[in-house]
Amino acid sequence: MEDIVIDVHQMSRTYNPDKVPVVALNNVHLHIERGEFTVVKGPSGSGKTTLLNLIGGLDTPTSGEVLIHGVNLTSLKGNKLVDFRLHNIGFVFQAYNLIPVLTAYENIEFILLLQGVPQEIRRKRVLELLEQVQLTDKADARPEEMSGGQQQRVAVARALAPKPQFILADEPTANLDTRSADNLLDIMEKLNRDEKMTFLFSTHDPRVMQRARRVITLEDGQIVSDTSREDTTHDSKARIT
Amino acid sequence: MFILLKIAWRNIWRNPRRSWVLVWAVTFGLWMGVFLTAFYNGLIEQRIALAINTESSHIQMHHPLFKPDYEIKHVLPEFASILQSLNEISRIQSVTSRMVIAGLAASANGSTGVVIQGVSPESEHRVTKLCQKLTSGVCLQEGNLHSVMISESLAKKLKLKTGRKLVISFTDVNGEINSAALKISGLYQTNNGPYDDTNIFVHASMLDTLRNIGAKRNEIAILLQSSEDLNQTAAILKKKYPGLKTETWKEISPELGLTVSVGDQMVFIFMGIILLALVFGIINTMMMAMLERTREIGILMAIGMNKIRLFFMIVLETSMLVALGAPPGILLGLSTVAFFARKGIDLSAYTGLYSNFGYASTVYPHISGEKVVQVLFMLVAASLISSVFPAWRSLRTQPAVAIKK
Repeated sequence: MEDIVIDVHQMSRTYNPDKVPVVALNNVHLHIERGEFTVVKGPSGSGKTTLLNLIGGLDTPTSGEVLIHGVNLTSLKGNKLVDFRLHNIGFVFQAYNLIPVLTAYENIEFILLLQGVPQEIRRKRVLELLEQVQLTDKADARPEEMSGGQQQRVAVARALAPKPQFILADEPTANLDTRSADNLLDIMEKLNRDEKMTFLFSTHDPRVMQRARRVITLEDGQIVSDTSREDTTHDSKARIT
Repeated sequence: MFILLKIAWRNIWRNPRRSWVLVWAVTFGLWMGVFLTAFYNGLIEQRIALAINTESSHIQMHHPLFKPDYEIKHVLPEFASILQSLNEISRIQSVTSRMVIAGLAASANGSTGVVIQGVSPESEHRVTKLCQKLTSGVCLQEGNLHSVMISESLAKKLKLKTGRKLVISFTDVNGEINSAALKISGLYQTNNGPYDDTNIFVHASMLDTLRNIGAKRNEIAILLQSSEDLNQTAAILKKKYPGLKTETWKEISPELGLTVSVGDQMVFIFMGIILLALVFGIINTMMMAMLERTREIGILMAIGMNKIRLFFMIVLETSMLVALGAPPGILLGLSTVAFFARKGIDLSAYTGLYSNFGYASTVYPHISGEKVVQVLFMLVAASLISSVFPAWRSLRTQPAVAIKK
């Protein structure tokens, strides 16, 4: 049986429902399996970020539901939802998403501290992650002392730290030069390949789309196409509601 | 959690200038708070000390029917033996007896109502340091019964000076008027204008002769070794002399007791105003800091920092800023108090105003450890209050919205 990590059912999100309603997502249905390397693309305002926010539990759908490994996110409130995110979802945002007052090491360790991981295990894990993102030499550097690409690699390491179910990456290469973007994507691809880590991207960046094995296109809050690289000719309408 | 302490500490140095301004505001507020508390405390303590040393002493004993209008018939029975007995109590530093009569003082230039204090000069000096208040002439001498000490202000009012005659008169128990012409031996001055205007000092034995009823006294004034012993000593005396009315200075001058409690309230209000200004300053600074970090707070919430930790982090930041400003504030406050406690704060420019209310012209600020703790406690409360609002606002951050900023 397929290992479904993200299961979105007939989800809609309308902003200002009582004033001037803006439909950001309209009756979206999709599921993401473990180990996918999926991109959500679409023009500005198509609902990409809203979709990722809803899947990440950062926003609440107006209707429908999001299930993460069978757990209905909409049923979780307050600190329960925060704790769920802490243990199950990794986030990489567009830019400036590290805590500026902490070093690379501390930024990664922070998540493990929130999880209450003992010091020795924490140390081992952080060093391991720094090695994975090839930033061992930057352990003591603060974000301001690192390039944008290096910061994003730390963000990936931080997202991986709690061993989440999947990583949501919202425009992670938007502010990076080609070399840094390629480097970051290489690392992400390697993690996906070697550790079966699930990645869900929202992006405009063709460099990311080239590497994606599945591309979901959003327009006006609806999925208009869902294409897998293995079967590029297949317009998987069956997966779209 | 150590990591929250670390983040909070580093966060406050992200904008050092702003943080230093706030730290300095806390320091300055506390400095002024401690100093004002000490100043007011010193003012009141001196007022009380002045009242005890010049007016009421610690404890007074009277005939039970003795009234503030000094009715002459209500004298103390066996006052000499009481005095002897009181002198044997170790807590008592000095004792004196008086014959206090309401009367009239007249000169060729006018007359005025006065309180005639019939005293034994030596023992009176031990209790009220009468002779130290002398500004010209000499103190009452044991051998010179027909002398009187009046205040500078009364002398001015009656246009008199040392060596001149003053006629005193009063009504005795039979309703007859007794008079005596006395030579002004010296002029005195206290820091209590109203007291100076009404009190003159004569020999009690002269009054005895004048009244022709033998040695009688209607007031015993007691100065204690320590003010701490006040209530306990008063209780002992009340028990020992149930037939007499024993009163502490608080009972004799309830307005002084009121001054103490009003003084405490005033200090509380002063501190309240200072801290309120500080609270608004802290709230403003923290709100600005939180506004600048909206995106960061959103990310912290997104990656799994719960509201309790976030709240705690902001409270920690505020508390650290206050904790940085508090020690120098206390230190500066205490140093200033220590400096002026030796040197005194000269208010002679306002002496008229102050002395009219019985206050000293030079104030020696004083603050107790208890008051310092009280000020600190108020500061801690203020810092907690001021951290709650920015923290509460931050908790309302929607991560999805904040991350976009």
